[in-house]
Amino acid sequence: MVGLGRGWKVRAGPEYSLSLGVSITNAAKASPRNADFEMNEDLISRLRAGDEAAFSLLVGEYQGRLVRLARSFSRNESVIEEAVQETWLAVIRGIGRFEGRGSLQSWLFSILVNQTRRLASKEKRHDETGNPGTPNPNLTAEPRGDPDEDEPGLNVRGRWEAPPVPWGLEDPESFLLREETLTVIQKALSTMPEGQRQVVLLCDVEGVSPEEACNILGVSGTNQRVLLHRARARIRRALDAYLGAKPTGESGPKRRGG
Amino acid sequence: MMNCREVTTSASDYIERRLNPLTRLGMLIHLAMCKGCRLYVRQLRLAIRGLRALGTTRQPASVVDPHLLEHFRKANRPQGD
Ligand SMILES: [Zn+2]
Repeated sequence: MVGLGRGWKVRAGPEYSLSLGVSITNAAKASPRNADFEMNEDLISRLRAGDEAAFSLLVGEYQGRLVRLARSFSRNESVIEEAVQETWLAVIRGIGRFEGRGSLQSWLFSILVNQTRRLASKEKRHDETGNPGTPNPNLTAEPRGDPDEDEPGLNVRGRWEAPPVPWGLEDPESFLLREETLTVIQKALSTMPEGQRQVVLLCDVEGVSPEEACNILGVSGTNQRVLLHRARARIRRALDAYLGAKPTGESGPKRRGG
Repeated sequence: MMNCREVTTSASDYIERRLNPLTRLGMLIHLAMCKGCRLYVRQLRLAIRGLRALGTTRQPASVVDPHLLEHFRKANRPQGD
């Protein structure tokens, strides 16, 4: 069990309330987590008391996030589905023993990571081409000094030959929230090395602390930092390529010349 | 003196204030003189905000698997109610 002190947080849309019956049906539209509430002792005691509304709320909140994280460990959809299912069953079995020293979110993520790794390696053993039980090389290899990860605009002496070009965004905040921008980010995430994706999903997308991310993934602090930075650098390059390729349009982001 | 490669590599640690004071100072001096690296750091910050935005705009599951609820119910009502 992950045991690092951090507030437990479930972010839910404004239509959610733990004290009411769960109205999951009207939550189909994307809801920004603007009505953050603390996932406190109250939720745990409700879960322990068998409160179905609390459980549905938790599942509704985390199902998609668990699937997204599981996809960074396996491309096999049946492995992913089973791992998420097993995670919920483990939560049902374990909530009575959950001590609440760490966050419930970290607990969920570490169960998921263990389940996905277990099922993925089991799957590999059935596959003759697979290398049984090999841990993710991205997480175990020492990641420093990989020339593949250099910024393309730098020359051999480590100086900018093609320095970054201004993105010329008039309103960066609204640009980042646009569906198209998020799609660009999502696409870049799906094509980056697994280890980078796992770390950046936990740290930046899910907001897990670096220490918790290390515990969940079983990586050193150094590797966590290197992988996180490389992942972010890829996202920057993806946004840069997107903004560079896009012609200046009426609704599109404007890019200053040169 | 840090070069641009070292600055870009340390940019995340700089943003998160995880650099030791001496490296941080070297970084600040370089940034004061290098427009390319300043822009790089600014764009990296935006990339991070984009990743966070991805985490805050999700689609909560609209339907909870009834089998899962059944498991939850069973686990909590061993005698049947
Ligand atoms: Zn520079």
